[in-house]
Amino acid sequence: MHPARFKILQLLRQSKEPLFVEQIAKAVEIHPRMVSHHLDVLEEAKLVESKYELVKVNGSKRGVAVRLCSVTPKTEEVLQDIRESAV
Amino acid sequence: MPRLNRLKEIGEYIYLTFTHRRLLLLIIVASSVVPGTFLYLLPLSIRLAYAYFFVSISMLSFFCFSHVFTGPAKQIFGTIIFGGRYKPKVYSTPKVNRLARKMGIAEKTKVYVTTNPWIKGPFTNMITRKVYIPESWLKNFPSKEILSIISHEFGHVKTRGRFSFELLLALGGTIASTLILGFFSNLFIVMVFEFALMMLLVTHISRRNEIRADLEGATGAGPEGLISVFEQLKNEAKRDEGSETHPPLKDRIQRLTKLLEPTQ
Repeated sequence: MHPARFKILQLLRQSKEPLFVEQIAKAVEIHPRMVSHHLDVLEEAKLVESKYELVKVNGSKRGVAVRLCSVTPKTEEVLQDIRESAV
Repeated sequence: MPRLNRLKEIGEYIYLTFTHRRLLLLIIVASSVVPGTFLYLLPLSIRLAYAYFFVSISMLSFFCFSHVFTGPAKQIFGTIIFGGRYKPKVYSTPKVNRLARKMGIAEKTKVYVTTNPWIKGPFTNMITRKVYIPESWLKNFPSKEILSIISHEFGHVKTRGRFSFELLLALGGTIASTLILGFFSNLFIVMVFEFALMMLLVTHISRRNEIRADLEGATGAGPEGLISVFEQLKNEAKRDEGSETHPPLKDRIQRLTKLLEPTQ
């Protein structure tokens, strides 16, 4: 697995609420466009779910449409597999 | 075959990096021009010393360059000779067609998926405008990254006119300079000089062409996919110094990350 994707999955797994692209980019220190690309790939593999919602960012009045991402149950299985194969 | 293995071991033992190989070529070109042109005016002892030096350096370069073009050559001859056995399937999805239309590629260009073991990586036949992708790559990379790989290959199709023009210029320049040197110099020196100069020019042109295809592909499918593919290839590769035909992956990633920032 691509190291950046592994980082993103770990971050999403540890956070209790779904995150959007800018937040993930800040946390893992990768360019937001690259994060978006990795999320697309992860979504295609059904490791991540995403939905668009209005969120108030930086005190905006009407809110901004962002892509909120969270992990699926399949992620746990895959990460477990990776851990076992590493040992 | 033990003999071939021995040769391979020697090749590994005297492996030179790309910069050193280029330095060797430059030394050959310079030394064949400067003392080579007025060799018969020099005393016999210096002539003998020069001959010893020149023959040894050309032999060394023969060993160092025996493996550099084998990868592309294998792919080209593998497809020509064994291409009929592994019938390639046309890979045409709506996304690929849309990409071709977006990049302004002619409809003749087609993408094929092959199981041909001679084809190790995706490559473009610039004469027939056929793009080949090995089936193993389709399994290893997600569809979005396959699309950006195809966009890089489409970039080759798009810039093939400029590439062939530059190659023709290099060929003409080499032949012209060889003719001039041939009036003054020895046959052996001229022969080695010709190969060395040709190699220097062709490697430079080919590397430039790869960068051009990267940038051209990024206009079609965006730079993100290519960056991600290169990062994965860089993780797998033993050494990342580039080859005679391709620049180092680190350099290509750096060029593409510049495109991520919004233009003003």
